[in-house]
Amino acid sequence: MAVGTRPRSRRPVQTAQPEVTYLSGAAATSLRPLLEAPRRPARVLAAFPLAVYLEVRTETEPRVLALVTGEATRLPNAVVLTGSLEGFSAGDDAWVGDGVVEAGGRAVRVRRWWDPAPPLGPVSGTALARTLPVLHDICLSSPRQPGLESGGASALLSAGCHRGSLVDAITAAEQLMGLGPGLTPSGDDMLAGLLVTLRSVGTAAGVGRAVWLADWLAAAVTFDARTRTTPISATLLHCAARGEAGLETLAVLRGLTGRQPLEPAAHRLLRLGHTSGADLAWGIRTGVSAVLGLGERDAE
Amino acid sequence: MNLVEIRPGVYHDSVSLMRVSQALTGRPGVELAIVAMATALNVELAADAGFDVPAATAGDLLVAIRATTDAELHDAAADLERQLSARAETRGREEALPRTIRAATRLADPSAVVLVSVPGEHAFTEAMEAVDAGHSVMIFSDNVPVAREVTLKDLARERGVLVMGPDCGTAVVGGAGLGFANVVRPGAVGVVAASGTGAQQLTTLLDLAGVGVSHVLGVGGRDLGAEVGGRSALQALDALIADPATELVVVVSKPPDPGVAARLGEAIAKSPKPVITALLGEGQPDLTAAAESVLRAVGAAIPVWPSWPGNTEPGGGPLRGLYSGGTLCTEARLIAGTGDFTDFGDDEYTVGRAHPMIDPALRLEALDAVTEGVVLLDVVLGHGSDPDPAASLSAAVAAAKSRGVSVVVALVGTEGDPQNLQAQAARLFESGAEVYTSNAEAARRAAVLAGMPASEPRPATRPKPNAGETSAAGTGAAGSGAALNGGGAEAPGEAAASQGGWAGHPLAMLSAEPSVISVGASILAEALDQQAVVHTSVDWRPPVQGMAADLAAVMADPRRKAANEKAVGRMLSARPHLVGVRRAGDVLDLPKGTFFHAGPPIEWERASGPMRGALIGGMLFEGLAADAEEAERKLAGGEVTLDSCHHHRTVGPMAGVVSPSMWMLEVHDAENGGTAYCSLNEGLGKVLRYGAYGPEVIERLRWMGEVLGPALAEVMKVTGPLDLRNLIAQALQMGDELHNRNRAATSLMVRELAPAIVDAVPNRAAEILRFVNGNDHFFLNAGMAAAKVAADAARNVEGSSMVVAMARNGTDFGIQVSGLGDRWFTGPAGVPDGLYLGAYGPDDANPDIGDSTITETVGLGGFSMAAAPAIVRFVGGDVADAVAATTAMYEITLAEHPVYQIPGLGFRGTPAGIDVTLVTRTSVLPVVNTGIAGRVAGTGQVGAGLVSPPMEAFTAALAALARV
Repeated sequence: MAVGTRPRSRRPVQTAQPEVTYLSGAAATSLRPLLEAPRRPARVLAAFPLAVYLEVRTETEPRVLALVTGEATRLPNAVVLTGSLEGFSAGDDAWVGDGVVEAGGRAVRVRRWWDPAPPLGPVSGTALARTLPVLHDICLSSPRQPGLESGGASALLSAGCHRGSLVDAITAAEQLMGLGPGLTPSGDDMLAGLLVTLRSVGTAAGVGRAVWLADWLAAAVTFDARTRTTPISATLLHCAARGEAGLETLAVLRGLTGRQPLEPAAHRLLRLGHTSGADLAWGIRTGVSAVLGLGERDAE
Repeated sequence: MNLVEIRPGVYHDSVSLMRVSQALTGRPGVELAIVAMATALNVELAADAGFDVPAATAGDLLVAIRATTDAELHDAAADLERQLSARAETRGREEALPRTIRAATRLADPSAVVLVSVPGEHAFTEAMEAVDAGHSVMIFSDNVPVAREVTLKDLARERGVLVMGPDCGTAVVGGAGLGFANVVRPGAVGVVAASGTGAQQLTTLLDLAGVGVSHVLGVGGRDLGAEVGGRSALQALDALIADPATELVVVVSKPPDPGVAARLGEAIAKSPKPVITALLGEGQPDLTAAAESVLRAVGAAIPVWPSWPGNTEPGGGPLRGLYSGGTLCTEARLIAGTGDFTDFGDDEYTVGRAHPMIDPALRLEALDAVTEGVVLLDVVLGHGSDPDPAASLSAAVAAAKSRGVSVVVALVGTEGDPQNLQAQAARLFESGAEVYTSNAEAARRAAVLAGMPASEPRPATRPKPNAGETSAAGTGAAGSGAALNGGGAEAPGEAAASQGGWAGHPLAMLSAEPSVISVGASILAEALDQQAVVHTSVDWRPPVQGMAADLAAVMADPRRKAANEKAVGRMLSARPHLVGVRRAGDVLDLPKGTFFHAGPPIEWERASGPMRGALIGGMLFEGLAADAEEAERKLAGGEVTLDSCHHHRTVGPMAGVVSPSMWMLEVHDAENGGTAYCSLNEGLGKVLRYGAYGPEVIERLRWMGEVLGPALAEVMKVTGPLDLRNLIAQALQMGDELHNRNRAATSLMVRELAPAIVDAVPNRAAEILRFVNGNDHFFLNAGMAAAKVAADAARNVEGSSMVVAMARNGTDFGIQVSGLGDRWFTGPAGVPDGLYLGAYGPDDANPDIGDSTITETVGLGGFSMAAAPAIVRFVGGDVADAVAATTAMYEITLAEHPVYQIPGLGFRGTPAGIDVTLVTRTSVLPVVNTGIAGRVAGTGQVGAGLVSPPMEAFTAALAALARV
């Protein structure tokens, strides 16, 4: 997923201590432990006009934190600021902890928290069966399509989830991890969308099997995410494993469960990144479809 | 040395001005600085302080500075400019900010909350607009009449949005703190708050215990009283019950009216989620006890509430309570059972100054005045409050301690608050105060120190039994989906089905990422930036002086919205066609001796030069007088009947005189069925409409009546009806605006008619074509008739505030309003401001004249200037001004024309349908692009420029609407 254009090139090392500007922003609660912990060193992984990624030297997830601004996507590991994100470059030193994110001459404190894994509220299978086709139509007729060809691993994953077959689902998931171009490879986004949906929609619809599937898939994916894909994508997969999603994804899920208008949310999601939005949408559709399928099996 | 200035029409919000005043007063050598809007109260304050204040109105800025030397005064004045322009700059951008909430809603998210903090008399109007547009609103302002509050809340329920307020200072929506609110973690407890600081104490304690809050919905101080009946509280309760993130609801309030309490009790009994009530008062549990009930209900451990106690021995002596939060004050007073308590947030202390949570001055004074005993005070942290209260308090606290006074502080805040809870507590503790995060504990401690026996905290009541489970959020436990939305499932109880929103849909603002439209005090907008909440500011100015009550009355009219939609709909759907050319005497009610004229009705005595000249010419043309003197005598003697063209489905340009022998363009509205007429255009030079009446004028009129008119009548028989709407739309996209620039439209018209002219009247074809081609404005008359027929379709819709006519007679500028029948509302016609031809100048100009403003009435002319940038060569200004003129008009119109579109604005429809309420609220007047007539009859056109109708026409119309 590209949220900007080209990353900035490395700037010469500054010797004088620059003045620190204090800023405040809003953050996902998944970052609260990281921020409340004692100060730890970090480094800037990548810097784009609308998003800057920091990797913190820690063993627990989330390890990568995104500073975002403007129209950039509200990732589940994001700190949202107003104002520009100039003056950061990849490789810069940073510090995270004790309530502050320090990087690029800025010290950011969080003044608003949001929950990246909010409960969706109860929803019936009938209601889902009505809204899913609407999402389907919007996705199929959109110019934004998933990054990977259909068939192959994605088809296997979809079929596996429908049948509740752990073997197929996990095999396919392992094939998809890290597959495809971009900062967050297509395969990862598809998995992320699927993981979040199985868990949250499964819970909302009372389909225990979907949540069980989500647990196993999550375990498989997070086991070696670090070695199979980019650091940024690995952290996002860990978030998805816990049911934490970006706000655009959450908006579509709320749309599917009747809490807010579905169409504008779907269009907003599809516009994310190059193919990220479409990939996440594929994961959501597959997830809802699986929830419906598994729910029917449960009822039988 | 004194400096006193009045700056007319300059507006800044009161909180910003208070900061500027404080900043200036703090300068070296400055004794006193008052920078405020010149309300009666502020003028009195300045006069009492020894300043000599000239006459001013509440819409003007008052500057009064006193310094010891001239130099210091000068410096202070310079600093003032810097401060004021800094504030203006933070709003200054390339694109103008929206002037109304309506315009802002077009830019913002559909689920945005509107935050209203304008002076109380205007708050209702603004809130109505927000609710009408389908947005929930938080009204920070107070002094809103209770009847208006009820109207607002009833409408809100219909529209499926929530009114938080009036007098609501605290809310948390989707984690975003609005007004005075603390930084709390997101979680499962929802709060319905009729008390701001009560909600703050409750939520801060919950956060300190690690329990999060989903939303805090304020309902305003009066909501649970008998008149308002708990309207917002009940709606908020429904909304939180339907919100998936909320698992438990707390209602915080002073004891409600018994009837309301009963209704509330019923709603709670039906609730599937547990509801705890914290209805404070005599014999009720305190806020801390309520917080502890909540913790027990969600299964969280009750912590020891953080405190920094001291080991002072109780010394007895009087207890003095100095509070900023009303509910906290009440709670402390009840618990302590003794002592003299003052709520500095009460109205009597906040007139003309900021709330004590922002400005500590009065409390510090009171603290300094205490010489013995115990002082108990609250310090409330969070957004909107003083950024470093300990800094201002610590010196006073230390001084009090040194006088032997014990100081106890209730510090209401969370670890996440911007002021840094730990640092504030430490500082206050170091200066000698005992600090408690629980107000109840602080009050008990203060009582003990004052020599009262230690009291036990009241046991909290168990949560009321209700119809639902007591634990986690509904998981749709029954497999068939016990959905709580109104999707036709068997939902338990109808209370759940309303969900606080509209027709079974949940309250939009609770689900989406929080976004805000802010109107009023910029300090509240600053807190939003800190929280990275998307917000749109409205560049609000007070409405025209004296109109607040009338505006509120008209805004409250239940017919208004639908009536305006109907009126503008009819106007925009009109399909005018030119169907014929007829002799005036044959189709209009024009007996001999009667003349129609442009503008509202006028008598000879008051008529201007061009009007008089045209009437004289008309008399001569009709043979009613042998020469000009006789004509004048008869006109002055009242032997002639005059009436407005507008009363007879007619319009006329400039003097617009219509007499029986003139031939009229006949335009028919194929959609709504009406008909309208306009005279044929005489051309340029010495013409009747500019008041010329020489032989050549009369001769030409005769030719037009004997040759041109009948010929065109024949032509129309050949061509059939000519679609004027289509032609106007095309001309608009070719650079015309159809009032002062008609070249493309005239060309298109000639193109349509030329073959038929040749066919119908072959002998006269060349003559007629030359006549028409000699005048770029030939189409204007057809355009005016088309506009007239469209505007007439919108007449007489009861309750509508839309303008259906704007017209000038050379002396008065008048308007007519759809909901006010045939009444005219007038004011003096101004002289257009623009460029003059040849050697003419402003002294040669006549006041504005003509019915051609009927074009602006339907969204053309000045309103479409962005489509005709070349016109700036004639009226002055530059292209950006032309675009700005059109853009400003969107603020005062009801709709965008579906067919008349402006390519340069992305084919946006022209702003159409002027609303009297919008004009008086924004003080933006319609802009008219017109020719300037010579003052002396017969001079002709002396220039072209822009003019606006007088505001008094609109205020008079508004006053009439308020009484209809």
